[in-house]
Amino acid sequence: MIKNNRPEVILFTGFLGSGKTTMLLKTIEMASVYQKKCAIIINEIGEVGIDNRQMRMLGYDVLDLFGGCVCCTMKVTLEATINHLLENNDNLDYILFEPSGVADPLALYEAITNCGYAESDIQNIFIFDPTRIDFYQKHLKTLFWDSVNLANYVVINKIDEVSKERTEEAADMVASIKPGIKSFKMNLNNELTSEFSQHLMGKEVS
Amino acid sequence: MYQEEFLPVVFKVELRSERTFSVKKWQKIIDDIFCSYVDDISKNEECLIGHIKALAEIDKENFIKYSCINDSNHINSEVHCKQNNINKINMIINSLVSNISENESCQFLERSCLVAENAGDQINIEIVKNEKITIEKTHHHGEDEVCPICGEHHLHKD
Repeated sequence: MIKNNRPEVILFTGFLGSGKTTMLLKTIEMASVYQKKCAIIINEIGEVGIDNRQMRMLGYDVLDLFGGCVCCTMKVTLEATINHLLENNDNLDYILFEPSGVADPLALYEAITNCGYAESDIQNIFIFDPTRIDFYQKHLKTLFWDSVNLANYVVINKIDEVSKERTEEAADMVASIKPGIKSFKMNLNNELTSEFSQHLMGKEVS
Repeated sequence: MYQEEFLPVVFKVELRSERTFSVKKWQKIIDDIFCSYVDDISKNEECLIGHIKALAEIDKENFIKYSCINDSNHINSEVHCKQNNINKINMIINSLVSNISENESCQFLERSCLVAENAGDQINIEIVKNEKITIEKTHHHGEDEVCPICGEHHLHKD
């Protein structure tokens, strides 16, 4: 349980191009409907961020983590950012964090737990792109293993772009690492399913 | 984790024309640039595309977003725009590809832009390279205060 009414931390993990930003945007829209106040933290590697610019153009205020990947050079900055949010915002409901798609998800936990959160307080959603199953199997085994193991649940995105068999193969890959983990099969460009929304924001949306 | 493999290369690209074109036409022009750029990258089997994404900014609220994670047949673009005809677009490209140098990536992009310039639409395209791009740092503090997050002095954009 999160102590002292701290905002819940929702972490959107997944490799580059898997749909993390789309997921983040959908979550913000949903939170807005239920009048929940969210802080948005984005870490992109590269000196100029695309996602944070997009968010601002859509009217959202974003805290950027600049210049490096949050799992190594930016770990301290993430901690400072979360502490800054906690100290200056009494009424936050959620901290939504999109790390870089090349970040080691395990390394993010230390910065968050240093801010007083328990690992179990972190809601970690791994977004898996089934159009890249081969790529994951060949190049991203460690990332996939770590990501699924740490995730509370998995979103298999882009199901409109692959066959049913491919989607099932993606679900099997996830289940082979963490049997019993809940996987949601979705196209994040559409509306979030009500079942997923309930998982994400609990009773608020039921 | 994979940050050593997929080094980010950032380009700022300015596209202009004497004439105004519809946003749909600009979308197609930029799409063609990306197709050519991604095709050039894909010729080298050692190069793995992590993510090539771009934000083509029409004004402060309107944009076209591009995303590519494999080949030129799969370049997605999403228009978020209420305007119709424009003669200028500023675009930021963030290219995360393994086994390609910044110079090589830039050469591919320059070649793709040249093809677009010569396609008969009389557009001018300028690429501003990484080192000349101004970084806008945005946090939440007063203009004269040290940023509590990064510990530096920088302007509060908004």
